[in-house]
Amino acid sequence: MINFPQLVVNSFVTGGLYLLAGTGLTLTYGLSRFPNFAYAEFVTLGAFTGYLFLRHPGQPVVPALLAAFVAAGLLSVAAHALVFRPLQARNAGLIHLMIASIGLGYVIRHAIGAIWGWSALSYQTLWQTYEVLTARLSALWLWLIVTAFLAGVALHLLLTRSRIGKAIRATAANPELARVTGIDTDRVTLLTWFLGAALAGTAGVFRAADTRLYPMLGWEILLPIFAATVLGGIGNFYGLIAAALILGLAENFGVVLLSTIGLSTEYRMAIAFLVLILVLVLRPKGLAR
Amino acid sequence: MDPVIYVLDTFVFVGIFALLSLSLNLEYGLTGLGNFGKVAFFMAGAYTWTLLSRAGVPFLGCLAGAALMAGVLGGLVTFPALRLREDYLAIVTLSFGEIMRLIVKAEKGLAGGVWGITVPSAFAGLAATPRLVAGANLLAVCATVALVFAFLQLLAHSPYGRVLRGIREDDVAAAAVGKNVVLYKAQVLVLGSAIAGVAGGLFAQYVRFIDPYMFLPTVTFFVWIMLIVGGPGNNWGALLGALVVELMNRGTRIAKDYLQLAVDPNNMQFIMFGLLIILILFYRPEGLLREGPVKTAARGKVSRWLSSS
Amino acid sequence: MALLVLTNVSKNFGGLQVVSRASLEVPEGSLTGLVGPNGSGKSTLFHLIFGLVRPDGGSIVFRGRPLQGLAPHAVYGQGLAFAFQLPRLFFRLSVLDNLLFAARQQAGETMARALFSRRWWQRQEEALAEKAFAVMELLGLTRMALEPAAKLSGGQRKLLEIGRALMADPVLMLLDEPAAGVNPVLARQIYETLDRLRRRGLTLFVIEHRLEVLFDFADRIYLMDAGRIVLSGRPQEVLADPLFYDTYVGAVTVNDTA
Repeated sequence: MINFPQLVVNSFVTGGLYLLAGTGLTLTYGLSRFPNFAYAEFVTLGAFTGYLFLRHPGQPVVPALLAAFVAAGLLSVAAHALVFRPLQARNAGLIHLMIASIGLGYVIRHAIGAIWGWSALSYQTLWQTYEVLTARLSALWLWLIVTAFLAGVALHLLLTRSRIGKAIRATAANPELARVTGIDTDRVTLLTWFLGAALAGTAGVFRAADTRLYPMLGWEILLPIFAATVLGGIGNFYGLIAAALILGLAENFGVVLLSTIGLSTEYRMAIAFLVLILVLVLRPKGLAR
Repeated sequence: MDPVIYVLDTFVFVGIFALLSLSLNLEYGLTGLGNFGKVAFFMAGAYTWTLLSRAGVPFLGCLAGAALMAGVLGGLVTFPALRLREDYLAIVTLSFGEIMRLIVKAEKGLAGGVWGITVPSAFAGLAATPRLVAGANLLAVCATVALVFAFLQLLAHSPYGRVLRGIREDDVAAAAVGKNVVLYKAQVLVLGSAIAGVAGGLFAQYVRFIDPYMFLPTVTFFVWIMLIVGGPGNNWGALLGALVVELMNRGTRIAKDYLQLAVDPNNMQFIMFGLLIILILFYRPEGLLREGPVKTAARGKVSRWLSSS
Repeated sequence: MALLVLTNVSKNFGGLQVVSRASLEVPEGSLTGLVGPNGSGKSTLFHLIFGLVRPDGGSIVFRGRPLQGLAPHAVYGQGLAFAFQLPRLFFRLSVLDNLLFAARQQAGETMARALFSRRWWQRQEEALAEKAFAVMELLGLTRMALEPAAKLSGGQRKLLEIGRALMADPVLMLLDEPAAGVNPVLARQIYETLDRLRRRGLTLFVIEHRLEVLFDFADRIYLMDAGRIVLSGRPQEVLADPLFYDTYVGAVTVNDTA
């Protein structure tokens, strides 16, 4: 008996998480033109920062989200300014930038591990559950879906109605041309790195609240959000919205499919990996083209 | 642990990583192929050796099997490697490794799944004396490293090696100047993966128990750090990198017993490696040992003409 | 005798007809020029001949054998060589290695022989070294023989690009703007070298914008515009044809007085 409403809810939850977490990745990958493997740690740091505000039951969620937002954003800006921008100024190649991001990821992840330890922690918040049709929905999930939705709308308005948003789109499309028309591309890049990671930080809070909090939290969802990024087209925010949802549906319905044909549900993660490989090999520009 | 065994153990690991590092040097250092799935072939070799030796296949058979299985998988990677940009190739090969790990985890009947599987030692006859076993393993690993090193040096300093380096610099130009780039890339990936498979086999029978958690992407990243630190394009650099990184690894763990470190050595180690690789990329991206020129008779001859004129 | 014959070759890139039913012949032993305004499809035509791009239609025949559909390295094996407009050298390799790379049928280039037939290919290396040295002397690059190609000046890089093409003893050499971006003296020297090679039996097919140099050395000129061959003939004939000026100058009306 397939519980359709539950699957739909779960898909939106997964999709919402990937959207929140993936926005920064797709925008910075598109802008800076290299995959930042340390991005996972922005999510993780967000989660741990949020933890500072959710150690006792009954504490409000919004401060935790705001703290995660700021902390992850600042970490990202520091990473860009201290490591990636200087390396790019030295003409570092693509592989060098990737390796630097892997090294940076280690530094951050293990610094977090040194501070908070490696055993899994939990947020102490209790979440109310609701029943809608045959689906069980936790208040946490509602928060996640609403936050993802609001972030999506806010970003859309930013990109289309504000001057800075148009500057971001111009720089992403053609950095040289943008610079020549007077756009401060350095500032635009810094802002994108901040904003993207900030959203990822809030995603970290939701992920930790939903599962467990430990230093590998970000890395666990890194390849799936790479999958969403690539599927939607690198640098394409609107593509990411569709891709996140598709991936959410694929994973959740896929799990059902797996158990029906007798395969282990361990393969759930393989769904994201397969999407990643297939898209890159067959349609590297993503669904958009 | 017995200090003699600890030293032997350290160098066995240096040797195994040296094999992985040499194989990555062939693929990336010489040919420019950014293979981020090294651990997948290491793992394939380890599990193949395990299953073969448990079935009673002798040493050389297991070695061949491990190399073959890993090599075939390496051949599969050739298809994406031909058409993908460096970053896409990295992500694809990374995912490939993770999928393989998932398969082993999920299919418990295959090789024990998450519970792991025991591996008979190739030197079971010496089991009574652990030091001899460790010593024998070290000899086997060293012999393998020496053989693979000689092999790769011969290739690197030959017209074949020159073609690889040209492919690395500009594969379109290399094709336009008459080389069958597809064939070379395939050969390099198959060979590199086979070497990684051999390393995996030697590793499995040495540690005598393997499970999927030993084959995380971290292994791949460590090999990359070793190669970049040591010097990509230089086989001696690959060896040096393996030595330096593994010794740093061991060093931090020993330090834990003798020094009061503020930070747990596990964390310390990774933070250190992360900083090391970033520093190297900033100040010495060509690595400790730079890539030397292709040394064939031609270079010597021209060099003599130039100095005499 | 026509060495290279193109018949109705076409190529469409994403809706744009870049080459449209182009037909031409390159006579053996000639220096044939291909000229035309920017974007007329000249480079694409060369890429089509060399197999770097697949034609949508038409045939490309070299010494009586079809060339279309062959991979670039196979085209090379047939006796053609390509010198790119922006030199695609192996920048971290030495000038010498760049040249040695281009030699054909090197024994040491297969894995088995690299490992087991060392003496054989070492001897071949020594012979190739002499040849490379001769090419370097012809082009004035001997001093830089063991330096990485990255250290060469722009003009030297162009020369090395040509030198590399020579190492394969090609029958036909395609050169995409050999005199682009070099000073007039060097441009003339390059063409004098090409002329010398032609007299030694090499056939040359050249894309060029520096018309003043090309027209002094070419036997035949093809003019391309918007993917089509619109004019052909000896340099003086082409120069005398009003279509030549129309094509280059374009439809510039006198009303541009804004």
